[in-house]
Amino acid sequence: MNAYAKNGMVLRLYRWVAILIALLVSLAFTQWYTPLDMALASRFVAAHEPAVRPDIAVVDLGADESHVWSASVAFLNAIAAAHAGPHHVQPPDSLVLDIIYSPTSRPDASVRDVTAALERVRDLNVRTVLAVDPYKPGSQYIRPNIAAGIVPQIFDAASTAGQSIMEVLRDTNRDAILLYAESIVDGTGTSYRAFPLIVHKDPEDKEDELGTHVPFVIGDPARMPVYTLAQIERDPGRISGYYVVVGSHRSLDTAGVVRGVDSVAWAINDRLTAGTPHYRSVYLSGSLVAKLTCLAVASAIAIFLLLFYRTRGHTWSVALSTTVATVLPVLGLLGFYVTGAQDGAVFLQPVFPMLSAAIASAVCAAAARDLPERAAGRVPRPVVARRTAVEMPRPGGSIGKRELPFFWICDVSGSMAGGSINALNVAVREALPAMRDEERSFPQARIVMRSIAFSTGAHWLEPNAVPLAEYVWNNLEAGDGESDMGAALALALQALDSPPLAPGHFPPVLVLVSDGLATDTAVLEDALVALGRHPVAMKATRVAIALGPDADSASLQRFGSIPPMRAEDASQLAELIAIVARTTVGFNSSVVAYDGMDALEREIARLQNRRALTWETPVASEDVW
Amino acid sequence: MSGARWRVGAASVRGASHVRSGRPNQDAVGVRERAPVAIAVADGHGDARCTRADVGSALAVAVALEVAASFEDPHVQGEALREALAERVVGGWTARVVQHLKAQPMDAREQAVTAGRPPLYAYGSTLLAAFVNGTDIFALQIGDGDLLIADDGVRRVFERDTRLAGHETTSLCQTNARAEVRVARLRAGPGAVILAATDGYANSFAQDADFTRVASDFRALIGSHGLDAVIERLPDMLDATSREGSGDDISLALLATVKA
Repeated sequence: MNAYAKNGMVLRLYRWVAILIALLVSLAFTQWYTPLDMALASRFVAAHEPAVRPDIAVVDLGADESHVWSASVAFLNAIAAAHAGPHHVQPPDSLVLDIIYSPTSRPDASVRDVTAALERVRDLNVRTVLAVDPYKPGSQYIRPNIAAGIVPQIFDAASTAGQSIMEVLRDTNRDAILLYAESIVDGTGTSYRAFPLIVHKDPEDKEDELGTHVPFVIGDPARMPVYTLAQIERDPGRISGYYVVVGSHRSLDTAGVVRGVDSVAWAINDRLTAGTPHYRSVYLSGSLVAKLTCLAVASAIAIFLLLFYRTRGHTWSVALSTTVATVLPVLGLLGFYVTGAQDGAVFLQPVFPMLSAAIASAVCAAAARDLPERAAGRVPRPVVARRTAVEMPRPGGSIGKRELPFFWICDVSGSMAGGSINALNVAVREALPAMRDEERSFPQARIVMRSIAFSTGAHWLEPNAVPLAEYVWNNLEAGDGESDMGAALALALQALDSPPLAPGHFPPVLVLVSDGLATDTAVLEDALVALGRHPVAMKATRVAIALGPDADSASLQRFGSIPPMRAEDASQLAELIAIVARTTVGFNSSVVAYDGMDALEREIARLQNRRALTWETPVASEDVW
Repeated sequence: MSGARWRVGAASVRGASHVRSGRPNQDAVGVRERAPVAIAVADGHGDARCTRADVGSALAVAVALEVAASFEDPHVQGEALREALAERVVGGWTARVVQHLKAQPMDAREQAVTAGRPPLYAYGSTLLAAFVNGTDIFALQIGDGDLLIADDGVRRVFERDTRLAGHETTSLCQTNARAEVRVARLRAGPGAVILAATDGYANSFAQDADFTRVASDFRALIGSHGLDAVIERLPDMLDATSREGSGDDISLALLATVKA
């Protein structure tokens, strides 16, 4: 009793658990930012920053979605990299970093990332502003948190996280503006109030310097237009500054996000640039497109694989586990790429799903190895030997191919003179390249050729068998002799002994081509009887081709191990010989006993039908069952 | 055989020609390491209609190992012994195949390919197995392939089936498969090695003597390097042999006596 027999149920359970894990991991992946988003941010900076020096850039580092966060950090990094690059791109005058949300969910990782990003931009002479995203729950969220002391803690010297940020600010000789806002809904519509708080570089001074609210109202779109990336690309000259909303928030409330960031930026702009609107907003909507694209591709692969395995008769569990095992690594690779693209900004969250993905993939791959033989859940795993560096000689003697003897037995009697013999010469010569191709795909055999010509008497055309690679067909000529087919078969029989056949040879192939009645009937009778008793001849593939309507059908029928075939003209003969030469050579794989001829017959019939040729006699294959 | 115990090892490699043509490894190989130790190899037929030959060979190996595990010596000889083992192996394999067919019925494409043949034909496979039971070794074979025993010399457990030419084999899927199973009860001398191989191995050698030499060579290698080291190198050896030789899948299982 092997382990699989005992654990069939366990194996099935194992698969389904793997599938469940994989699906959960897939869902986790949908929350991630994708490489496409990263590329979009970098492309935007590279394409537009050189045109003008922006007055202000607002980077939305808010929201506690890790993908938005990572894309924002990537955007900062892209600005820094563009400035340091060959184009020496000018950074914006002011950089607004909206960072307040994220530390609430991942304080350590978020602060580390912001610190790293700030370090990158600190030499760019940028006015650094920390802002609060005022949209939606944020406005309700931030006030109580400030009241509770949560937000200020970020800038508290006692806080390790806040201290690291403040140290960077101190190094950059910048103040920070902590600004939060809230929406006001009244009878006239929605307006926003912003609360700018100047936080000095001195961590001890956390007072609200202004201490006054700065109310403002979102203006009409014409005053603060929102451009898409495509619009910016069409008309870059209209932009003298920009701020950027990255990511697709869970709510997908794009308009709300843009309005919210606009309001913050407006308020900041108002204070920093004396109300001169030099900015435009850009919404990088790539993340949603990218995620949907990734999911669409993964779904397409999954559907294809599911259909593929199901249509091949596998169970749902096998099909699903195999599909998941195939698709997950693709998604895992994307996740890995995101992590790698953050340039040191490694988060805790992506690691866990990736680990899960790796485990799920391994589990599913293990289950998928059951295809197809282990689907029944009770087949032992083959022994897979490990490799070592120990060198050992290969056991056994000489390795070599076994011979596959191939005989042409050709009628060159008077009746063959003219068109028939010419057709035969052309047909055999044209068949040789195809035979060589066949030999190459049949590596265990080495074909050796030998030919007999018969008219009055019979003789070998070559003294010994010649390897196919060296074999050259010399044109036969038909004289005015008889048709001693019996003599030819008797000669062939002698060649089927061992020697001259090499030991371990494959069953020989004998192809007999004739267009008339045999003249040495007594010899032929003896030869046919001997042929039926010779152990090698009995196993040989014997094919007779009748050329024209006058061929000796009865003798050819007795000669062949499959029914003889008829060729009516030169082109049919050429096709028939090509088919016979290829199929008989190639037909040498392991098949069930006494079934070889039946299968050969069927293959030839198939090829014949394709070429609209006909059998000499109807096929009546005998079933061994 | 006091002071010595039987150990097993095996490997199976996909034939070079199978790799080129995209066909899977249709061989199967398996061993039972706990007493009663056993080895089995099977070669799924390459016939296009044997669409599930890889499953058939895997099931054949599984059944052989189960038979070995539960075998109780009936203390009979000759035909009675042959029939007893043949019934268990062929009967067990057929039942497994039927079970598999029920779990995974053939789709339209497979039915078209195997048209005119009984469903079992799709699973066609050979089987060679040997297991130790007490002081005796039981060997069985249906179809081509070779069971060699090397002690003082090298001999075939079963002579080649003279009814078969190079491309033919008897099979578990034949209606008269029980009659085609050959069984032997053997005794082996100290340091003996029994080797079961699918026909791809023998077909890779120029002469039969070149092939039978593998048994004595393996015996010598196991003697000098130990069975584990030989088994670790086995895939490379078989790979090279297939590549330079038959191009067919090769599966090999070894049953060897080692010092306890």
